[in-house]
Amino acid sequence: MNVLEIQNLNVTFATEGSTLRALKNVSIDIPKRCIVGVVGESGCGKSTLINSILRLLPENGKIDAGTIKFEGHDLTKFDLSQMKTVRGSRISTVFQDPMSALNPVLSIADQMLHIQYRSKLRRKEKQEKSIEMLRRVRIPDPESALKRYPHEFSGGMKQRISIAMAMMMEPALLIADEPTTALDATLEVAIIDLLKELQSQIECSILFISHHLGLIAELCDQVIVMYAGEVLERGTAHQIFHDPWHPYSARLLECDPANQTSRTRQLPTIPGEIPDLKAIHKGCIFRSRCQYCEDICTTVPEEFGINGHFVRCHRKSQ
Amino acid sequence: MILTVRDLEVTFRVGPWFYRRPIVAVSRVSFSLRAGEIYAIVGESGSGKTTLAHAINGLQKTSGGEVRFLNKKVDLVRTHTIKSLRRHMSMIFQDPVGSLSPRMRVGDLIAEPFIIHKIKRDLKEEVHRLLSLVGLSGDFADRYPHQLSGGQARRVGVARAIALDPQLVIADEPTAGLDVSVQGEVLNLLNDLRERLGLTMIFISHNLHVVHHIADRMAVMYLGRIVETGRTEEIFRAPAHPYTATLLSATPNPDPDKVRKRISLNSEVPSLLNRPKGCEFHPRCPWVQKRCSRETPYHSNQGQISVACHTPLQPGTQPPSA
Repeated sequence: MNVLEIQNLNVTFATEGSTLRALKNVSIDIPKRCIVGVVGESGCGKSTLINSILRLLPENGKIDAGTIKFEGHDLTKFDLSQMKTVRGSRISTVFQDPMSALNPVLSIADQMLHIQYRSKLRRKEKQEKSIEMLRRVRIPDPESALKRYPHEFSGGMKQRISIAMAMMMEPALLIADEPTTALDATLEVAIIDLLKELQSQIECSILFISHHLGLIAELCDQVIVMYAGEVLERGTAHQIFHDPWHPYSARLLECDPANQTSRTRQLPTIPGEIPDLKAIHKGCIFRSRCQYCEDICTTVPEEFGINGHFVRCHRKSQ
Repeated sequence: MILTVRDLEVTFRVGPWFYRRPIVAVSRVSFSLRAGEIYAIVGESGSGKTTLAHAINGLQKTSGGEVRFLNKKVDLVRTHTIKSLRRHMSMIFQDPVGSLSPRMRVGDLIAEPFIIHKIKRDLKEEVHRLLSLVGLSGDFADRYPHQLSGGQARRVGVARAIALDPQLVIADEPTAGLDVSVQGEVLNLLNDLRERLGLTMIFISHNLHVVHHIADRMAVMYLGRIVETGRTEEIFRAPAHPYTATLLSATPNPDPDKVRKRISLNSEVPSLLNRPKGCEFHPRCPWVQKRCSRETPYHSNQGQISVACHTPLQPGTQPPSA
C-alpha cells in the first residue's frame, strides 16, 4: 500500500521567451511507514517536486501532466480549499531553515495552538498536547518553553520545535526538505535519530530531501536519485549505495569526500555542468557528462528494473 | 614563520547600553604557520573560526594578544600598514556569489586588486592569465556574477585571492554551499595551486572530511578556543580531545549497512554569554571528571598532538556507557 504515488509528473516554468522543464516524467512511490530519500545536486528538481506535491509552485510554474495520488485521491484535481485541508494535517513539512519556519513575533504556545485549529479539542487539551509533543522532541522544560519566543532557542532547538509542530497532527506523510543543512554535524545526527524515532511512533511515511549522502544512507529505506529534473535511479538504500547502476549515481557516491577513506590530493569530480533546462534535450539527460556515452544514448532510455531497483540507462537495459 | 598568532583574543560587547556584556568570541588562540603549509581550522558554528580569520586579516579589532605576519604586527590602527600587509594576505570569503559585487564584470573583479594596490600591469593579460589558472575560459571576463554557477563564482573568488601572488591565503569555508561534485573541483584547484604557486593557506571549514584531504595540520576550535591541534593524519588516526572524537564520530557514513559507534553528547552548545567554568566542554563531555568543572586545562603534548584536556583520550578509547 502506497501513501503517495506520483506518476509521470511533468512540471514547467514559464520564463521570459521560453519554458523551463523542471520535472520530466517523474514517477515515485512512497509506501506506508517507509522513509524515502531523494538525492540530487542543486537544480535537480528536488524543491520543485515538494512544491508540486504541496501545490506551492510559484505562479509561473505549472503541472503539465501526471498524477499525484495521495491516499487514493489525485491531488492535482483538488481545489485550493481541499488542498488546505490536506496541508498541515495529512501532509506536513519541515523546512530547511528553522529560523524562518517559525514566526518570530508569536510565542511557541501561540504557534503550536494555532496549528491545531482544525482540532475540536479544548484549549487546555491543545496546550497539553503541545507540551507532550515538545517533550517527545526532547525540549527541556516544555511548560516554560511554550511561553518563550523563537529567538530564545538555538538553531537545533528551533528545528526540534518545527518537527514537533509538523508531527503534531500525526500526518500520513512528512516531507523533510533538507532539515539539517543549517545545523552542525553533532546536531545533524541528533535530528536524524529524532525523525527516525517519531516516524516509528506515529507510523507515518517520510519523504526526505537532502544532498547529504551520509544522512540519506543512515535514515532512508529507499532512495531516489534525481538529476536535472529526471529520476535516474531508484531502489533500496542498500541497492543504491552498494550497487549503483546509473553512472551518475556511481559518480556522485565517489565524489563524496567521506567515501575517500585514505588521503588523496586529487578528489574525483563530475566534469561538465547541469544541462540548460530551457533547451530541448534528445536522449539521456546525463549524456553530456557521462564517461560511457555511446551512439544509442541519443535515444531516451526506458526504465529498466528488477527487484525494485530501477534505472534509466541504456547500459543496463541492453 | 610566515604567520605567528599569540594569545589572540576577540571580545564583542552585546546587549543594550545599560546592560552591556562582553562575550569572548576568540580566546587565547596561538599558532604559527610555515611557508607552503595548509593549516585547517575546524569547528561548529559559533566556535569563532570566522572571527579568528577576520582578526588575522585585520578586519576585526582584537582585545588581546598579537598577530605577526611577515615579522610585522597586524595593527588595525595604522591603515597604511594594514593595506600593504593585505597585499600579501588575501581572503576567500564564505559565500561564493555574495562575495562578488553584482555590478562588476568578472574581468573587473579580478583586476580590482591590481587597481587597489596601484600595481601597473597589462590588466587584460593578467585577467586572462588568472582565469586560465583557475580553469575558466577567457570569455568569462565579460560575465556578471549572477551569470555564474556556484562553482564558477568560487573560482573567480580564488582568482581574485591569488591575483597578487600573496604569501598567505585565508579561505573561509571555500566549499560550503557547493554540490559534492563541485566541492571536489574546488579542493583539487586549491591543491593544484598550492603545488604550482607554493601557496600558504589557512583553510576554515566545518567539514572534517574535506579537511582530511587538503590540510597538513589542523586545529579544532570549541567556544573560541583551540582544543586540539596537530598533524591532520595524526588527529584523524587517534583524536586526543573528546570533542574531536565526537566530531569525527558524528559524520554520517554513506553506507547503510555500517554499524555505527557514535559518541552522543549530553546537551547543546552552551551560549558564549554563559561560558562553563573549568573546561568549557565539560557539560557535554562523556568522559567528564570532577576536576573538569573547576580547573581550566592547558595545552599539553600527547605524541605529536597538542591538546587542552585533563585526561586526553588514548588511541582506541571507547566512550563510557551512559
